[in-house]
Amino acid sequence: MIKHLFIKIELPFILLLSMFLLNLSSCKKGTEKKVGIMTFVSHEVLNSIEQGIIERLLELGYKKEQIVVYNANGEMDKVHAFVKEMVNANFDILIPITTPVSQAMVKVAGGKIPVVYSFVSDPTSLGVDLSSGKTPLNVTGISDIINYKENLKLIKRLFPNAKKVGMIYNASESQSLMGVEECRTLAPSIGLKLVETTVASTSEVLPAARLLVSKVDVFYVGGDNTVVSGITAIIKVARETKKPVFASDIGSVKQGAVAAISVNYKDFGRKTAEIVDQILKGKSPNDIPPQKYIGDYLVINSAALNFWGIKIDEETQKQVKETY
Amino acid sequence: MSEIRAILDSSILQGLGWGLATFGLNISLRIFRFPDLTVDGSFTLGAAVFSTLLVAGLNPAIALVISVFAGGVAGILTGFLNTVAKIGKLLSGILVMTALYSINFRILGNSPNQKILDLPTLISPIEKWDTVFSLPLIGVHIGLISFYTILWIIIAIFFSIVYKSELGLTFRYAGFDRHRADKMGFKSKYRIIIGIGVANAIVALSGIFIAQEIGFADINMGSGLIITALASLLIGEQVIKFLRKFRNIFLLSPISIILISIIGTFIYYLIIGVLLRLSAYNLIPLFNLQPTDLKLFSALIVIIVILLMSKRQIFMPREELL
Repeated sequence: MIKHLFIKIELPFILLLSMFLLNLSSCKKGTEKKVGIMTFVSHEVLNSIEQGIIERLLELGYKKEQIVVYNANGEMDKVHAFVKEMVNANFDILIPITTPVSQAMVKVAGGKIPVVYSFVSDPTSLGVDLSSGKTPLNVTGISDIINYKENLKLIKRLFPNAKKVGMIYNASESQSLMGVEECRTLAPSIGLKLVETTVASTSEVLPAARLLVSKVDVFYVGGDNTVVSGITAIIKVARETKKPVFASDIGSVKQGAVAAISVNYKDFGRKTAEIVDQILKGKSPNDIPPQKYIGDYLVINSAALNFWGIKIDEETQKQVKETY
Repeated sequence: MSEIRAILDSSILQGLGWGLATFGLNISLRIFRFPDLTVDGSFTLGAAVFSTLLVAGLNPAIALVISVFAGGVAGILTGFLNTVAKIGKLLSGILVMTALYSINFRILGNSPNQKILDLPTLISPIEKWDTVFSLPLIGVHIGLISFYTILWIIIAIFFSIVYKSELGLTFRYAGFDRHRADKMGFKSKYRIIIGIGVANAIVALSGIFIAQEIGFADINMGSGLIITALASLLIGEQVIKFLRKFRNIFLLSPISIILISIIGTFIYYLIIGVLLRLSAYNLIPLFNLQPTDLKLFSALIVIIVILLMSKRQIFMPREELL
């Protein structure tokens, strides 16, 4: 009997209580603007963007209580649910990070709330017209561009013996696919030839690297989330066979790749926050053209350079921003 | 009050839209006793075929019919692998789901993602005039919710008629006991194949409407769907069992099967919504919740809800705990 009573009274009560708590905490205080950030999943790049945004917003005078971070933990159904909730929840501005979150956010917000997308490599997927710079109503944002040309040139400069470049990528990541296509067209002009293979998950990176290693002189890892997560597998194979690994992000160089011209994602996040600030101060999102952030942040790993016996010329040394 | 509104509105819409997928799983799991893992793939398949046809310029209604049919074919394949090729239920689901990944990728035009943002869809006219209908406690998207309600009523009518008909009875019997059904002269094989096909067609239908709501189809749309749908299904069943204390409800009546799917999904997203806020606003300072802790807590809450609502029988009356 007691248990029955408990069920009848307690459960709705708990739900109501928690909802009440929510309301207390989330009531808008005066004219304070509310900023909602939503990210797709937790990983190094996305986390540094998120940190960069929050850091810069705090510097610009916003308070921590004004910023709310949602994380879909990699599930599309949660992306859909959370986006709907954010659009309904009185935010003054929404910052979706990654392409799927931005697509859903732009669609569901429907121009009612300003949306500043971040970390979307191909904004045309959001309905942005790149040639005229026209964005959907109340939408603007910033895209990260990996400088594939400079990265390939860097490989040739540091490792002149390189002819065949091995690239492993996950074809289900559109930004990665675009990158590989770009490399394929660029490579001949730099005197390189691309040898490609695809993987579907991080666990497939090791066998793919083993398969590829005999056909290439050097590995190059583009902006591919799956392969970057499994970069240690490539480095392991590369060390066994004495073939160097180049990358295009800071994290991979930290892990042991030779060098990369990366996007500084923390700085990228800070740039996103500056757009947000402009909009919150009254500028219309449609007056801010979609922006590009081209990677120019050269990082090297000195231990890896020694291991593969690669010497850095003075000119390159001058451009190095960070050494691990 | 905006927070309650946001959670309720979102959860109701999720319950009605993603509830279709739960309904599909309910059919395969409870009626045909088939733990069908194909749903992860057939959900995406529905969305992928629909968006590709839409981009190709087809009428949305025709695109819908074709893509629902495509989802059905995926289910038929799983059923075929199980009943004819004698591959285990779980494995045949996994095989078809895995194969569908590559197929979906091709259907999406060798890209992981296809937008249908600016194209006219079945729900775009509704979305145009849809406004949030505000009440003191709740505010809901009246247009979309009415649309889904009508859709569900149509499904419920069809489902009830088929379910109670003589033909439906043979299908249910084939799902209940294959061998005895064979002995009684029904071909259980074909009935299971068609049943799993219908279940996956409904899952594909869910994918189609979600793609229209979010404005794109993505290769990873359906990954993890089986877990969400299963959790929703279990919660829904416990709620219906709980309601049985007050009224005599038959668990396997067509209406309760539909209600289980909608209410279960609704409550699942309600819980997730509340948890999301708790972690986002850091309302339990003791635990210092992070957004990534959400999965742990959603699992715990599902367990608690099921334990609280089951009347002393923690174990399901039916032998399968799936």
